[in-house]
Amino acid sequence: MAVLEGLLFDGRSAAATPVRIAIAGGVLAVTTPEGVLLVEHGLARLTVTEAFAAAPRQIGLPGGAVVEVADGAALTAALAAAGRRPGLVDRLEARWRAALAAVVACVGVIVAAYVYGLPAAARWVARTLPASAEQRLGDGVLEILDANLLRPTTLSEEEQRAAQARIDDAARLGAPALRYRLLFRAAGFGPSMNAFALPGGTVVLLDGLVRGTASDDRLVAVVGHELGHVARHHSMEAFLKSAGVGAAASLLWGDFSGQAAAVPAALAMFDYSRDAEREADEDGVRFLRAAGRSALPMVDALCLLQGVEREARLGGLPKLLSTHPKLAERIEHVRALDGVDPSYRCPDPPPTASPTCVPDDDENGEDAATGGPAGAPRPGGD
Amino acid sequence: MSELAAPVSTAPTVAFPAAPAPPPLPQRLPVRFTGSGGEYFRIWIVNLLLTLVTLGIWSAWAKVRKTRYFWSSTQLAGAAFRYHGNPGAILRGRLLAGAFFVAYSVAGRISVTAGVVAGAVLMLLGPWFFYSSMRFKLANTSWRGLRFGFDSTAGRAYAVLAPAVVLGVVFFGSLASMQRIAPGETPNPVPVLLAELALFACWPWLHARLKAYQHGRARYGNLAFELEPSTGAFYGVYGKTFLFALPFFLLQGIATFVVFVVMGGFKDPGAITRALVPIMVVSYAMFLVTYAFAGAFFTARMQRLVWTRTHAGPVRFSTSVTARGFMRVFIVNGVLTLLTVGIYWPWAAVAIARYRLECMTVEAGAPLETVAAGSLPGERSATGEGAVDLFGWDIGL
Repeated sequence: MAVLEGLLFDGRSAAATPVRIAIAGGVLAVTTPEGVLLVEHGLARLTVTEAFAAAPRQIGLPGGAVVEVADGAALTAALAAAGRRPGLVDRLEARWRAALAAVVACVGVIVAAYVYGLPAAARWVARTLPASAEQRLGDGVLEILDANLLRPTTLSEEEQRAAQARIDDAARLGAPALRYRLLFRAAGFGPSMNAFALPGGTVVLLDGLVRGTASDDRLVAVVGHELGHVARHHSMEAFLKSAGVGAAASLLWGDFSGQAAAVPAALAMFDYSRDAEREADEDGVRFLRAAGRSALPMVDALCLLQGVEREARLGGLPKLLSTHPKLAERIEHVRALDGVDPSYRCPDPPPTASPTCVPDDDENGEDAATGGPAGAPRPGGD
Repeated sequence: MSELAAPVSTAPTVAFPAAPAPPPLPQRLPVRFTGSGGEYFRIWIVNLLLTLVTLGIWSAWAKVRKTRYFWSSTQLAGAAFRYHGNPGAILRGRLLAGAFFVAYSVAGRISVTAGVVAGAVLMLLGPWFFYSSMRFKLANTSWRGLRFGFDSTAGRAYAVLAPAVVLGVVFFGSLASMQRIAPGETPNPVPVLLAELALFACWPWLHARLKAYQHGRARYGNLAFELEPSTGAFYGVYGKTFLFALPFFLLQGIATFVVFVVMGGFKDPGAITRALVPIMVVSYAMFLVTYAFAGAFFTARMQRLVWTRTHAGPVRFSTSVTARGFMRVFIVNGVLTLLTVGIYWPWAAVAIARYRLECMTVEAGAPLETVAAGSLPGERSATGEGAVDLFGWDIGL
């Protein structure tokens, strides 16, 4: 039988009474140092605070009184001898081996959640959400882009009508069930050989693209690709993924401020995965075919983008808006699709990519698409 | 507490068990912190894993276990503190606060207007969150078998924090006026500047009000805490911190300018975009440096200001923390946390707690035995606590 010294606090005043406690036969007895019995209680229903290496432990007695035992380790031993073992989590927390295993398991869980869990969850939610939610999100993003990165279009009414007609014409056959809306905008700065899809089915066409492809099916191919993103809710998915990363990061590093958590979330926004681009490219090819056209303009459109990217690699906005490090790979993939010419080579790029292009200089030669700053949306279109 | 073994008179009225005769007053109550980084690391990592595999549900239990560790490891006059927070209540609080949080962050992404509205609503809820968090925190802390408490009402919290809320809403409103302009129109910066100026000018006063409320309404049993009015001293600390931080701000400006020039200078319009990432990295590094020095200075001065003016009846507090001491702790913590990708964090948290606590001096001018249990009701709702956790508005005691 173990006898330990402690202090009894009655819960009514801060006064302390020195006591001895004894544990025997599943019963805890509290006595004065002289041996006068104060309280006796079955061990099973008493609450005892966790054991820490150097901290006192408290035993809660019925009626709000507590006995504080300075020698926590001795109390742990006495309780163990009486058959009362600490809980599972307490035992894990006490062992270095468990802690090291937890480090490994944490890394494993985080990696698995990021690689498998998050995309699957984002995909599921993106497909389950009502169209109105997607629409609202898209409108919000457009509001922000309009305020910061885009300018009103410089296309004439006529040019706009022609492009709209050309696309509507193809979409009637290519994607008859899909609701979409075309918007024309000029890029605030940087080349405007681009288009991107917003959540909810809005496709923004930049002036340079419309002008540069006015007379051929490359515009149709690009819009077919964007409508693929729309139909597959890719931008919603990317948004949810970034939101998920942000939420998880603030959960993990809750001890820090939210500042650090916002950075990875912002980087992930609008960043389509390689698979998503590939799917959308295939959709673009299907779209062209269904509209009764050749699939080659899809390759041509990608070639055009590659040219723009090469040229504008070190300019201003292209870092954000050009985006695709893997264009060569995508061209390869589309070229190899059934019925597209596998031997097709990109034509030489046109002399100027777009009227609003910023003159480039080639001071540093890193790849532009790797480290876009946080916060700037990277419409991942084409 | 080994001295407790010494046979003392059976009367429970003796001031402290170790004292055979009533000591001369005021008596100094020793503060000890027995936590260790290694032990806290094990608690932290095991709970982190459980939080991950339960998709965050365990975070409420994790919070309770971590807080219990810090409270149990803190001893005043040989008796440890104890945290009684109920994980179920904290989970409910977190879910509710989480719903607010999701609404707030989604609103900001849906549209600027929705974000501004959500920010204003959050600001209006702020006093209530603060009040209920303080209640939860204190009502769930005990020492020598008696609970602490926060003796206030939501109405009082609103009365005290009303100027802060008004200034906050005005500031948000002025931001909104910047956003709501027609394309092509240049925004008028005057309202935002005025609101910002007002906020800056009033900030020390608001902080003093908040601290006076926070410390002044705290209770230990039936013993009331008090913070002597000190608005002037708050202005002093903020002013000195500003002067102290000035060279760091200048340095940051110079560093940004140098990066900008190196990246291509003013003639090249692409330089702005190209310099964005390096400038962000430099700013962040400079921010950390500024925080390690100016933040340490501010924390030390503020701790001393607040604690030397706080008393609870016959109990007086003081602290010997210094700016230099905090700088050492912050720099070691920051460097090691960065180098170990966060793994050092538990050691860092323990180092900060140890430094703060072991610098505290508590002097009792009368025996504490006379303190009786207070009459404040217990606190069950943890929504405010959840919100304070989530939004990172931790206002340490």
